[in-house]
Amino acid sequence: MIENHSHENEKFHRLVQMRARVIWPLSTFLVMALAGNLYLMSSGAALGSTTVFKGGTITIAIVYSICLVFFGAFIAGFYVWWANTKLDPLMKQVREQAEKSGGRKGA
Amino acid sequence: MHNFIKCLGYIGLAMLSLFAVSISAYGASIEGSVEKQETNIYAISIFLIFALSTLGITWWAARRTKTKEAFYTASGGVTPMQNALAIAGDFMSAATLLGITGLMFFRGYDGYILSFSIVVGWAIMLMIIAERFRNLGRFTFVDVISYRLEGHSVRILMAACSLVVIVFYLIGQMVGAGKLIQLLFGLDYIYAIIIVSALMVLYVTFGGMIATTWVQMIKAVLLLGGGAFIAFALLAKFNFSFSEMLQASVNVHPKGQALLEPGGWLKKSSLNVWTVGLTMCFGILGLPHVLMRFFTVKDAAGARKSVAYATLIMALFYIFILIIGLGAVAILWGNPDYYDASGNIIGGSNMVALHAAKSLGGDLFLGFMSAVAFATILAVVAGLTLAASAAIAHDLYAVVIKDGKADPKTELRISKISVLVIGALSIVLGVVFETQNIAVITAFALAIAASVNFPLLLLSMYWRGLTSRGAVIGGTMTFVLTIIIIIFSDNIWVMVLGNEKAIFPYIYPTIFTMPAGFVLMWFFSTTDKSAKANLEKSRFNEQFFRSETGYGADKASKH
Repeated sequence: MIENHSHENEKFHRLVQMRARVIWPLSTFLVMALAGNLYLMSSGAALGSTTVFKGGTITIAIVYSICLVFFGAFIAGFYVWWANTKLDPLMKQVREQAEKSGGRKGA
Repeated sequence: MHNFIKCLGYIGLAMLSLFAVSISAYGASIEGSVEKQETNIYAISIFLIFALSTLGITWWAARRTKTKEAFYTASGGVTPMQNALAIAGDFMSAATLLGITGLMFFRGYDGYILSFSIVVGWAIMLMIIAERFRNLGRFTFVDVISYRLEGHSVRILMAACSLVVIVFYLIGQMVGAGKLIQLLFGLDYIYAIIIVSALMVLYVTFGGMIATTWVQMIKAVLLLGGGAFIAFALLAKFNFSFSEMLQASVNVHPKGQALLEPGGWLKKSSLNVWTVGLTMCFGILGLPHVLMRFFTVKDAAGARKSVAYATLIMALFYIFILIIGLGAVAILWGNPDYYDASGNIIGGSNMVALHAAKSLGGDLFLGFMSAVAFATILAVVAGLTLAASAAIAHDLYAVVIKDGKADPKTELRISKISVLVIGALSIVLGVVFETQNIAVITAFALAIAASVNFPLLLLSMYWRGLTSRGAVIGGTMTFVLTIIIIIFSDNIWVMVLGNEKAIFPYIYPTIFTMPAGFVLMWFFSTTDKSAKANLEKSRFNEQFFRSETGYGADKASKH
């Protein structure tokens, strides 16, 4: 999705790559996890309707949905931690560099 | 002049589409008729405390809302945690609390699709939209889309889309408010929506974004507290065993074990399931009133933290919703206290969460939850109204009609007039749509947001090739297609217009219209070889740099 530019600014390139390596795989993974739940409600409904324990009532679909909600929350927590600690310092450097040179470099 | 004619054309188109849906909804069959109940003194007392407190906050906020920056975005002075609560407060609407629990109570597990898809959508919003959105815009969602696109056509189209999405959302909230108050406060439906509208107008006109944020924050805390109480009290009745609670629900529900299996609502139809899932997940990525909240924080890092905290809060709330929706069956189903003489649940399907509140906490807790639900609606409609007034005053008046040279004071005055007009319109629409299921109405808003707003937002941020021609023609065609399909779907064509069979057999159009949106915008952009298109593409690098780093955004946001 993100196109490669001829930016001269190496740090900017690194910033874009670092972010892209995290957000696109995680977003894809989340969409696939959602797709798994939608599968359990449609074509895979027989599997989704199976109870987790024999003689119990809780179905695989319910457990999967609960896990999906926790997973979404976990990814959100992870991303904000990662971006705060890894991304922000680099972003600050890129901005400072751009300010020093009086404008964006490499566009 | 040419642009002005285009403007009228787009607005006319949007209004015609909306009018068609409004007219067709008039006279719809009643689903779970609502009988006016005895006055609930607790509900009224608690609500009065909420209303007085929030009006006090509005008075305080009014003294800080003298500029358009303060009015639209609280001058960027909201902290991430406050914004997270406000986002959660904005999004955890009456449709969530009342609509989803009602759907699960009657149709079972399938209703939960409206919850888990949303959590996934929020996590995606956090990673691919939030920070870039904050870096590129100032006041509205349309600012971001039109960052590098020439002319006013894009702004007009997106403002029209924003307004349609907001109006649909608003209808859901007004109907919820009217029924709730009729049921619990013993007031007529019409008075109920007049009260909501009046309070909403007061909050927004005088307090702008600051008052709206505080109303949403207070409501979010109360709603989370109330939801947690119902969920824990329900579980406590079954020794804190989720499994035991579900067993009790299965034992009394006519569906039996099928209550917990897929198929109760969407009938295991792949296309229905996928279209609902996609609508909920990607619809939130294009909701103007929610996106607008990202401008209330200082910078992109603030927007990121806001969305992350909001996602955590909402995930927790949706776990409570699962417990309430399925667990309420065990304590309410067949209980004569909650059914009328004809065997229908009192107040209709949207009242399940509140009946559960009464069953678990008595009249006092019912009063509390009723007041919270009412406050929920007020908070959401305030946010919606603010976003609509920004679309009218900022996007259409200041930028399109005045070509960016509007007097800020006049713009602010027009924003406030818009709020009054929207307040009046919301009463009319609340009456017209009285009998519709609020979760379904809200989902229509999400279908348009997912099909038009989201593709346009994503392409404008990440794809150099998007041109204004692609955005306008592709966006308009997708918008019209979405509205037409909604009219031809079961909810309107059969349930409202009374035809035997729907022309479009699925619940929402998103599975077709969202890809169509991407394809149409791509096609009309790539075939655009004009000089204007080249200029727009050449601006992408600058936009991309700013969206990734926030460089230049700080200055723009120092309101």
